[in-house]
Amino acid sequence: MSFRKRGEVINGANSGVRAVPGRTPVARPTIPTGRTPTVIGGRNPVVHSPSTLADRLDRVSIRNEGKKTDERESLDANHPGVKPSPATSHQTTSTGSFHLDKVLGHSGLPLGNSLLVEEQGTTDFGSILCKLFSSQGIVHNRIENSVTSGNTHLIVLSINQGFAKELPGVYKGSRKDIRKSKIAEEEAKVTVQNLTGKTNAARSNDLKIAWRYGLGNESSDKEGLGKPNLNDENNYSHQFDITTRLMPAPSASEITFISPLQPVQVVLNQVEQAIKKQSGKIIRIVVPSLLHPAMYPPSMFNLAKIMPILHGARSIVKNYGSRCILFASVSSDLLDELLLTQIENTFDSVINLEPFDQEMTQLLERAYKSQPNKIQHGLLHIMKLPIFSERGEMHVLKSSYAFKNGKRKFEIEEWGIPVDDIEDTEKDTPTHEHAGVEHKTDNTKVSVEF
Amino acid sequence: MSNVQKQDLVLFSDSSVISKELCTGKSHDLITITSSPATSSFWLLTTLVETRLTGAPFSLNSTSVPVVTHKNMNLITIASFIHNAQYYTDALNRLKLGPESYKYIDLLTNFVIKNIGKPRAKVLSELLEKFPQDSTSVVILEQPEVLLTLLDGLTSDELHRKFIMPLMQRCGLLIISTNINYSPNGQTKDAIEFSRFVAGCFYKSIAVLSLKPLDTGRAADVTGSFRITRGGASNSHLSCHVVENEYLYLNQKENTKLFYR
Repeated sequence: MSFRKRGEVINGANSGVRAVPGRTPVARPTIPTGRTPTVIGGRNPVVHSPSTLADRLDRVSIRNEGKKTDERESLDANHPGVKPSPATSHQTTSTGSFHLDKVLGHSGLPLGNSLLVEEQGTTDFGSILCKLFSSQGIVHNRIENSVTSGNTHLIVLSINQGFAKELPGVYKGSRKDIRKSKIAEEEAKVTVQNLTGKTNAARSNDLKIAWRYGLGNESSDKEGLGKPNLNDENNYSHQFDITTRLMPAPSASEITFISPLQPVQVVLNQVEQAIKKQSGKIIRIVVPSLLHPAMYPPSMFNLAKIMPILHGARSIVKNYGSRCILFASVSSDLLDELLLTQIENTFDSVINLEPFDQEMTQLLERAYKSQPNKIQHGLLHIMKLPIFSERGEMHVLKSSYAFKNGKRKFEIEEWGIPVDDIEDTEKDTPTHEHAGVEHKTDNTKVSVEF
Repeated sequence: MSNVQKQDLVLFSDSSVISKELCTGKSHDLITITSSPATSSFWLLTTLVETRLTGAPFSLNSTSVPVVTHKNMNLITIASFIHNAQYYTDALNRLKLGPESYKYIDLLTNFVIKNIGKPRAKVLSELLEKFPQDSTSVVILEQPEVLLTLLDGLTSDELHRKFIMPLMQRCGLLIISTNINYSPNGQTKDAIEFSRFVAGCFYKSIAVLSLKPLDTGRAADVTGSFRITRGGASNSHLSCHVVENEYLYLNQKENTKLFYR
């Protein structure tokens, strides 16, 4: 037994050559450092001196320099979250809302583009869209059987570190479906109770005939409910349940938080470093509640403070256009007109959410009394669409769409003012005069009180 | 609108888009293009590049585009604060205009990282140095008003004095594309600076081209109106004059058609 210092090269430097016993190694040029090639079967191995090898590698690297940078920026061709736009063939990825994807005209947001969701009033539907967008990225990243360990990374420009824990989970079906899948999961577990077959007694009786036809295998299929599969086309876009949370919550390997309150150069450098670190992945940059007074100090409402960040972000998104997208939400009532238009100017697409006021909501509630699910929450105006608007096409559409936010989807549909049947019926009824009198008296009362 | 006869684009009375008298080295002129987010001026900018390189806006007039044989990059320089080189290269490649026939200055990529914190005068002078000194060349500058938001404390007058006017002196014709989607009657200091910048451009221009969406809203067969008006600058040094006109235009699937209003 011999003792050697750690790190000392065995047969290193100028020592002898490892060889198969009984065979004479062929003479070769000495190699000053590194591992000595082994001779097997008396064949002469092709030996290159390190200098020539290094030269060759250098030459290869020079020749492929452009290619290497492309590889760094290119995306896995089998990325489940990317598909070509039906309109322009640009590579697009889902925003997490099927209807929003459709409204954007590309079945998603084209890579290298940005989307701004403005919102009027005091509601916060924009942040729901932000969370859907973020969840979609995380779910893409977690798709099983992926060739690489992950395919998407999320960069959140916010000081709200709790954002990761607020992301909605994938919709797993109705309560009935969830209950069934839970039962199936329980039954699939290897427990003494399951093995003795006490709980499965009834079920096994039912399946005595069915096993012949392979119907019993359904349970194993149901286990995968909600777990996306690589070969499934549905992996492009998922449905999320905003009452649940994404489990497990995104880890540091999936999400990077960068505070926008740092100096501009620091913010932009951190974003770029995060993108470079996640080579070959789609990068989703999210800016939830941009310029929200609770998160941004008053100084940030100055054009010269916020615009460099957004201009720099646009520069990064365009620079890594093959795998980077940007999504931001902003409350338009908080900003002056000039600041808002300048912010809009840095985004490729802009949509505006205008929640209904109380009167409109009441009208809708009356009109859809028997169908409360049909009540919309506001109007969606399109200000700019990705790619189309940049080309010069006019795509401003105001009051053409209405949105409603439900537990399991953010729906956008064509808007039409509903007919208020109740008012009509009231007018048609013979008690109309009586009702009018009552109304008049009410008015009188009010005026007297006033 | 499909039955309406489409029109050729003419800006000057010598039936040209960019008159030959403009880039002779004897004068330094400015043309301002105003647009809104709903009616981006990108198609017009590529048309002007094409006109400069091929002699006429062939793609707009739907005639066959001649192949550009000369490779003089000094003929036209494009600089943009909101688009990168790839965007212009892709669009101009479609018009059979290779990157060797024009010069592109990318003012979007890493502009903030490289310039934030530097003195304003230094940034503006460095920007200026990027443009070639050639009084027979055309420079297209997209959205220079972005500088008002990126350089803290920059005023409209300073931008004109230290960047726009020296740039005009460096070339024969400067074409500025600016986005005016805000109320010109804004009361804030920033709004006033923006208004002053655009007004300054109008005063210095020999022609103002404005792209506006229809006042009546969106239409399936019309994108907007394209108005050509004379600017505040004198064009007495030219034998031709700007032909004031208003077109309706339709921009669809990367094609643009003009119609008389």
